[in-house]
Amino acid sequence: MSKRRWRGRATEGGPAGSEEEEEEGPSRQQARVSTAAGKRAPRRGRLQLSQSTAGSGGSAGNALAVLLAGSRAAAAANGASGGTAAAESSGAAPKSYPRRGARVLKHSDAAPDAAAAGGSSQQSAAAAQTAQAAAVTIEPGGGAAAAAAPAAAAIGGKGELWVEQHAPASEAELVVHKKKVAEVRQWLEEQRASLGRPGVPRLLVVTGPPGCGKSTVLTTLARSLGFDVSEWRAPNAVQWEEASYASMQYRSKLDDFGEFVARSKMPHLSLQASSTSDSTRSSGGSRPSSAAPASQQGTAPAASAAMQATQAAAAAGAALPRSRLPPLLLPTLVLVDDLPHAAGPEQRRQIAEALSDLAAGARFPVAVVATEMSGKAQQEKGLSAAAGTFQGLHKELVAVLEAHRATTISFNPLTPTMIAKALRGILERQRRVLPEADVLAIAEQSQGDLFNAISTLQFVCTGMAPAPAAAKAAPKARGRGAKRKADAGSGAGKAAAAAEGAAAEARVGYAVRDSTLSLFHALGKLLYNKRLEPGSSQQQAQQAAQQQQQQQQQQEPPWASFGRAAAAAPAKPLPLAGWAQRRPMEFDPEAVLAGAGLEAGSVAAFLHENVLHFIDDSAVEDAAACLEQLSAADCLASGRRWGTGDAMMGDEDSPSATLLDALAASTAARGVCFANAHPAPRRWLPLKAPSVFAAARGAAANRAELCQHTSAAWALAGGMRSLEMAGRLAAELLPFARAIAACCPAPAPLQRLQPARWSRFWGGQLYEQPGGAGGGGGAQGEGEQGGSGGEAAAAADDSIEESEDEDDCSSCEGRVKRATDLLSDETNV
Amino acid sequence: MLYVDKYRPKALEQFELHSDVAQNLQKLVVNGDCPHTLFYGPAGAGKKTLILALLREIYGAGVEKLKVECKPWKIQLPSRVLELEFTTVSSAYHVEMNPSDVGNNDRYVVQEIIKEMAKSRPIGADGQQGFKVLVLNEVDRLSKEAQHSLRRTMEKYSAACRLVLACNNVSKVIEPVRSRCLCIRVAAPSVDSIAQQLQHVAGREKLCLPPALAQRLAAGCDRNLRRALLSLEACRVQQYPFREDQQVAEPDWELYIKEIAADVLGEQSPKRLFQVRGKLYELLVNCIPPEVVLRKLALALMPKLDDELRHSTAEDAAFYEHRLQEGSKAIFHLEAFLARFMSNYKQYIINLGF
Repeated sequence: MSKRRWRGRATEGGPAGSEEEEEEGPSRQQARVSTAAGKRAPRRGRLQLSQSTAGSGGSAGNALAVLLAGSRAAAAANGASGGTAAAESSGAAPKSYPRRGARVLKHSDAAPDAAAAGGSSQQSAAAAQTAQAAAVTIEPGGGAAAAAAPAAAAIGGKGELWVEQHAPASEAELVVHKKKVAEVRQWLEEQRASLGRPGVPRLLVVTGPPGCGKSTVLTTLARSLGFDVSEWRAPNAVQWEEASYASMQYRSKLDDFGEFVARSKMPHLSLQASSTSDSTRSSGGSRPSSAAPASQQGTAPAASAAMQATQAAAAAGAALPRSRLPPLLLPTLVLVDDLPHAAGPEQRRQIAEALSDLAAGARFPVAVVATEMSGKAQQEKGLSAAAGTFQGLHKELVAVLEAHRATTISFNPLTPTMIAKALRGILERQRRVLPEADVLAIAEQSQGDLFNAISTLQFVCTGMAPAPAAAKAAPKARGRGAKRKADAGSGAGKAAAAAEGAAAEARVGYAVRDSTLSLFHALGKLLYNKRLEPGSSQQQAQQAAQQQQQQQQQQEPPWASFGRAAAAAPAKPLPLAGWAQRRPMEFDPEAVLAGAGLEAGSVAAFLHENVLHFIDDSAVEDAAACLEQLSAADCLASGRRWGTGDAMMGDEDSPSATLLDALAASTAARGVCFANAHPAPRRWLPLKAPSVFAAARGAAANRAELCQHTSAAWALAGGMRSLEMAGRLAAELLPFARAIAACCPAPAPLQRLQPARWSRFWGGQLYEQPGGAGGGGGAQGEGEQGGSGGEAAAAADDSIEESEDEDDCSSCEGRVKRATDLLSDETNV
Repeated sequence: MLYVDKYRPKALEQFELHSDVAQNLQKLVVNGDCPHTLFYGPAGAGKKTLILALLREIYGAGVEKLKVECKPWKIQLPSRVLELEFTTVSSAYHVEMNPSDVGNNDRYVVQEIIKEMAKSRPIGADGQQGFKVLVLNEVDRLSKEAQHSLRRTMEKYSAACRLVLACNNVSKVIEPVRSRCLCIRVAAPSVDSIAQQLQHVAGREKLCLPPALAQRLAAGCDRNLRRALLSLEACRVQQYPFREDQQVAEPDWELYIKEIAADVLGEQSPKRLFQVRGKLYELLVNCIPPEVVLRKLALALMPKLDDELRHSTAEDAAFYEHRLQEGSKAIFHLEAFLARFMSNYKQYIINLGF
């Protein structure tokens, strides 16, 4: 493997290396699709492919692939003459072709000769190697190209992603809601009309969940309006070790982004002159005169023109040098797709700077595409607020964008109907037949993500023979589809008897995304603590348990299994004392926790906040038992902080830390469920966000004030001559000083010793009051003073955010904010 | 100026309480040098006073010229830069700090800040290279990692600096640190000696303090001399001349805790528990240490209880005090204690047959 990697990097800058890169893109995507994780495959290289297909269909794609193969083989031959290392690299390079061919073959029926090539490479790598070596040594151009052609054809023809193949070519093909399209169109038209006029805001922010067609709408419209699209996409990650192998400089994505911004500001200078330079790679490699590199880079401006040029080159074999295109032929749309990930404040600042730079100096319209993190629109607001983001953008970036008068258009997730429509269109074009129920199921489970839906569709259809074009009669097709599906299904005989709906479920089931529970849904489950009725059979309990298991099939955390094992084997009830007997639960607490992605700190906090309302008012024993469990859970969750060994140094990932966390979460959830033996009469109860964190924040702010300022004041002005501990100050010195000052004829010096800012906490809210004057006893004898305005709270926030060891705080903080937001939303409604 | 400061002994020979400790310290530094020391004892026993007097004994009155610095620090960690503000009180000869104030980051403070302080070596007045004293408070609240770093600092820079550590609970200081220090126990003064000191201060203030009131003040202060002096002063401003039956001033938060205790005894239900929770939160936000809250709560509940319940309450309090040390969310444990108490109390009342 290391050799391959080395080879990929060693030829970096040259055409062979870059093509490798390109060709690996789709293959990786293929792999992703086959895992059906529903995740978005890296998008690099997609533009090029979609362009070629958009232009002239699949055949152009083939031609292009052949062209690429040819040029690479030529380069490989050059390398062979250059030195042995290069020879090895070029010898290894074509190896990926048969491999890819083999991979494609597994799923689709390709040309027989490609199959042979693939088979040989799989059987013996050595044989393949000699074959490739021969190809290299024979002839520069033709031989190698001929060897690679069938495989390349297989890629271009059948292996390609449907997502690429069926990208909309015109506005009419867009599935997005007409109104949104019109909005974007209007903006683009305005931009075109006001082109070159200074002072017009040039920024557009398009937000929306993944796969709802944000960038597709933009690029499609921009092209149809005659814009040239200059695009920045988040580049593939370059691993550190890869970089060190190839003595290549590691470049951060932020630097890349900054460079892109700098270039797109002056389009007629840098963008066109060195238009082909790929931002993911250090420039400096000599560019060949052929148009091939220009076409492979998604970042190339004047993409459509370049594409045409490429196709012309493919057809005629002669390249049209890009530089001959007149500058500023077309208005350019600078498209920033997926801003680089900003891990910390430093990076955010960098991005914000680049963005504001871009916005301030933009001569052309700039569109920023921000992908929202969660699929569900309802959760969206709360979740993004949690991460300090707004619709996928951090608040700092939002501020920058607002300062430049950016227009915001937010996309909604696509409706299942729209997705189903699009899927049906693709099926028709692919001449595949899938029962309507399947299509709907895919559309439904994609949660508004068309990208995901198409990938799933392709996956489901993989291995199906294309239906004859005539087979369109719906009922017939449905029946056949169901039957085939049943045959291809889990293999057992039971599938044959299964009804169509059930089979469809089984079919699509394995492509289903992880189901998520909303936070409050999960809490509600735990708190309402539903149990099976005494009359209900054990079968039902088993069924419920199984259902839970199905719900979380993949990627479940390791610890979830112990709970499940317990749930799955309810064979005989344990001989328990009467007080400890409970009816079986309707749900599996660990599954609920996993579904909602809750970890120990927040589970315990949320349960603690709300559980008392769910206990019958006469059952204080239950409350005691509940709190006892929560207290135990807190100790477990804190265990890693005080523990020894590998968990000691704040190593979040150490197995013992995660195990402890999981145990703590389970203890809290199960403990509360078990202890609440006398639930309050069922009624609607509002769930509240925990006050623990707000209180902790207040305490931290007060403590900081005491430590930093008050103790210093006491040391000098108070005559203590030494630093006092915060706890002692608060519990001893300050109250007495207040009491003395209250009766003292000249209280001024004593009052100066009181903290200047103080946070109070009452009724779940943190109040910060301006203070100073010793407040004496408040209404509760607990008079305190002094508010640290937003600053202190913000400072506390930041410190919490930044300190890695504030174990649960940082993550929980987010949840709390999110929950608070949700709450305020609910109350507003 | 408060009595506490006004009548604080400045030199070792002025000590009336702990005069034995003071004499020993005097002998210890007779050569102008001393080992690392660790003062331990309960709050208000006189640790800090002894330390200041010790410094004065070593360096002379110069240590009393103090400056307070609240300085921002930037510490380069492997993964990020840690920025924190940190307050120190220092003279030309010593630096005092509370490293536990920075919470979870304390080990970096110990590693970096103390190291930096320890490195710079003062030049003695007589031209000899002297040593600097670092006074660290609340060593017992440092995390274990920080204490290990401290141990290393002690060894490495022992030529240039002496550490004077102060803590309440010596068993929370790791053994290696203890073994590198001269451990000096500063016991809490007895009630009688506190009363004596109160009389002494009153005499110098030319106040007439009735012995009964002095006794009550001394008894109500948890053998904490500082607190006794503070409450004496509070009584003084509230009412003078003193009356024997005068009410002894208590900190407001203690009254609040008594209120909580009354709430808990008044009704035992989840609803009441929820109300109490709000009050507990308020105490915690006001930086009253949770251990103190728990202790005071237990003590406030005790007088109203039967012997049988006292036993179980004390046991529960001890149990949840331990949980407090292990856990990180104090409110959980405080509340669990109260819930447990409510449950026991309710059961007890039912068993009585009311």
